Order: sequence, then structure tokens, then C-alpha cells
Amino acid sequence: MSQSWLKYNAFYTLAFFLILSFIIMILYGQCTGPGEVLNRIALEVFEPFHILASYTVNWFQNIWDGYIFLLTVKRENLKLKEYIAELEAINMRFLEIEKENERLKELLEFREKLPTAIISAQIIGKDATSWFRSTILDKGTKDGVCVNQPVVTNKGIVGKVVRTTSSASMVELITDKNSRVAAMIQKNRAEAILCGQSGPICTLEYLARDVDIQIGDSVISSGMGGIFPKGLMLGIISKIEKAEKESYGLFQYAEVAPQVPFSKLEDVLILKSQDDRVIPSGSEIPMSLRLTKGDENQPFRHSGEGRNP
Amino acid sequence: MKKKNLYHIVLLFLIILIQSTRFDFWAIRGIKPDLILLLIFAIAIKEGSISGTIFGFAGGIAQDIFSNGLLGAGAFAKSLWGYMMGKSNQRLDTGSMTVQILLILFFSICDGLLINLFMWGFRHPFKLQSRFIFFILGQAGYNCIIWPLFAYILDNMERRTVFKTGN
Repeated sequence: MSQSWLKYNAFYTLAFFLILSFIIMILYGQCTGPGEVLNRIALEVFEPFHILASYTVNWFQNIWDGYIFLLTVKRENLKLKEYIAELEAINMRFLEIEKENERLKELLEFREKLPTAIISAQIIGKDATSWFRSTILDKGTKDGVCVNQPVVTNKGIVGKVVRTTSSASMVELITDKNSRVAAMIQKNRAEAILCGQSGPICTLEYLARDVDIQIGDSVISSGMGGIFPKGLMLGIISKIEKAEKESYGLFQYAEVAPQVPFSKLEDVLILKSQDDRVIPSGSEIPMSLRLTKGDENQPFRHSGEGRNP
Repeated sequence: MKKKNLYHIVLLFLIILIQSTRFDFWAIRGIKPDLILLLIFAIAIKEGSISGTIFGFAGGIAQDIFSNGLLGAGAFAKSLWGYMMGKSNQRLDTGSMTVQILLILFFSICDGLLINLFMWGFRHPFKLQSRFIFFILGQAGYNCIIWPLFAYILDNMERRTVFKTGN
């Protein structure tokens, strides 16, 4: 009798939770109401613990990097010096280009674009599953973060904000399988869609078959989606396949290796919308991460422009 | 009994925190073990299908919240696996490590397939690519490898905390 009761009780418990899960799925799939509330509460509750865990592991990591890992520092130092010299040379070239650019703008009476305001944020959490790629940032709505704001680093686009709470936000990385970014090949401006695969690489879809692409070509954002500004680095083409079977002969398929080191990412920048150009007082000078047409050889134009309040 | 449930809740909280922290140094090519599934398995084979279902739901919903997936998909899958894991206790010799590993392999693969099936149904279709299969099998394999260590740690912790107090 007891066994039978337990059997039915277990079955009813399962049925209840399965139905509840299904209702949540339907509600969340169709609107952003109850699901969002639940998400926000959980993110708020876990945020201090995430920060605590982040600080603890950072502390251990600093000890490791500062003392135990010193063996490779000398070699790394030499490499960095070489790198700095290289960057200085590039910087000189950029300054020249910038001056030339300004002159041309004046001549054409173009309005000088104001830099987009930036919010810097730290990563405090990552996706709890292996199926998706998202991160949790320590900045939320009270810092001016909104849904759909692009998240970048100096290496390129990281992703976009998909959920926010008052003090934390979740970012969908471009490598997430839900991610779709309007992209274009930098050298010939051919447009395509960059799709995440929840792996280390992304795929370039709907790229016309006749477009000439080579391995190593840069892929940048086209600005067509309205979320990511035009000209931000997305990645480098790592594989090209003109498979008729998959694309029915109309498109070619390419794999893109993102330039952002997602596994080592710690700090990111959230770009405020184009209309929100007011830079809060006391903030640092924002860096323009935009690419200009014709900068094919150098992916980024670190103009360092901005207004120091 | 109440103390044991509280202990499992604290454990679930810690596992969720570990699973969602940014320091996923154990991730191999983006694949990390599903510690929540392992915990549900441990609870279900010890406490039965009701506890398995309840903790499955709680663990699944938490996993959904800290991921970019579909809210409810993980809860659905893990409630089901919690129930089935608890039921398997009656029919199989779950005391054997080999049986445990085989069950984890089976449930891990089912978990990956079901969650992605829901994604396919509710969001947008995914192509069943080799990379996708690699993810499912990779995680299932990783779960199996880590299970003996996980079970050992859990057993020791449980012996020291819950049983010591006589609950």
C-alpha cells in the first residue's frame, strides 16, 4: 500500500514539475514577462556570490601569476618590448591617417562624429551549461546598461546584452548558437550573417557564392542589424567551403575564428547607443574602436579620441 | 531528514555557483561537466524519484537562468531524469560504479538531446552538425570521467556533515 502510494506520488510530482516546466517554456518563449522576473531575481541573488568567487579566484591567480609563474616573465618581457615598438610604429601611422582624415572631413564639411559613450565592466560569471555561450557582467541598469547594447574589447565584438538587472547583466557572446550578427568581408564589403555555433569558431552564412574570399580575410560588422556599429572586428576567415549540398549552390560557407580570446576575457566595454553620446563626468576618455574604410591592413583605428570632461 | 534536504539545497547552491563562475578552468574546448546533473543523479539514487524530480527541477531551472538557453527546458529535462534516475534504483544495481557510469552516460546524452530539441522547437532550428554531436558526447564523456571523484567527495562530505549529526 505504502509502495503503491509512493509510486503514484512520485508520478504526480513528476507530472506537476513537467507541466510547470512546460508552462515556463511557453511563457518565456512568447514574451519576456515572468521569465525575465525570475531571471532578474536569480541574477540579483547570485551576484554577490559571483563577485566573491571572482575575487577569491583572482587572489589565487595573482599569487600564481606573481610568484610561481615568474619563470616565463623574462621571455615574455622581451616579446612585449618588441610588441610595444611595433605598436608605436603603427600608432605613428594612425596619427597621420587621423590628421589626413580630419582635413578631408573639413573639406567635405562632414560633421565630426562624437564618440559613443562607453561603460567598462568586469566578467563575474559564465554560462552554466556547455550548450550556450554567455557571460555575466558586474554592471547593470543603474550603470546605464540596456538590453541589446553591444559589448566589445579592443580585439573586437564580444556580444550583446540580453538581460539586465540593476547591478548585473548577461551578455550573449557572438559564439553562442543563438547569436546572429550582420557581417561583411572587409576587403570587398560583401555582406553575410555571422552565426555562433557554441564552439570556438563561428560560421559565415548567406555569403554569395561568387564573392572572392580567402583564408585570413577580416570579417567586420556591417551595421545592418542596428545593434552593432559598423566596422567592428568580428574575426578572421579560417576555412572556406563551397559545398553545393549544404548551400544549394547559391551561397558559400566559411568558418570565422573570432579574434576575441573569450576564454581569457576579464574586462569588456559596453557601448551605449549612438543617441546616448553624453559621457558621464569623471569617466575615462573612451576609445573609438571603429574601423575606417580602407584600413584593411590594420584592423583597428585606435584614434584615442574622446572628450575629457 | 529535514537537515539532509537542507544539506542538498546548500550543495545545489554551491554547485550552481561553481558551474556559473567565470573560472571554468576545467573546460576542455568549451565543454565542462554538468555538475548539476551529477548532483541530481547522486540525490536520486540515494533518496528516490521524488527527491530526484524536485531537485532536478530546481537544478534545471537554475541552470536555465544562468545560461542563454530556453527557460524551462533544463528544468523539464532534469525533472524527468531525476525521476528516471530514482526509478532506475529499483530495477538496476545502482550500487555498482559501472552501472552508475553507464546511467550517467545515458542520461547525459539524453539531457543534451532533449534541451537542444526544445531549442529547436521554441527558438530556431539548429543543424545537427558534427560539432554539435561532439558537444553532447564530449559532455557525456566528461561527466562519466568526473563521476567517481564527484561521488567520492560527495560521500565523504555527507558522512562528515549529515550522518555525523544523526540525520
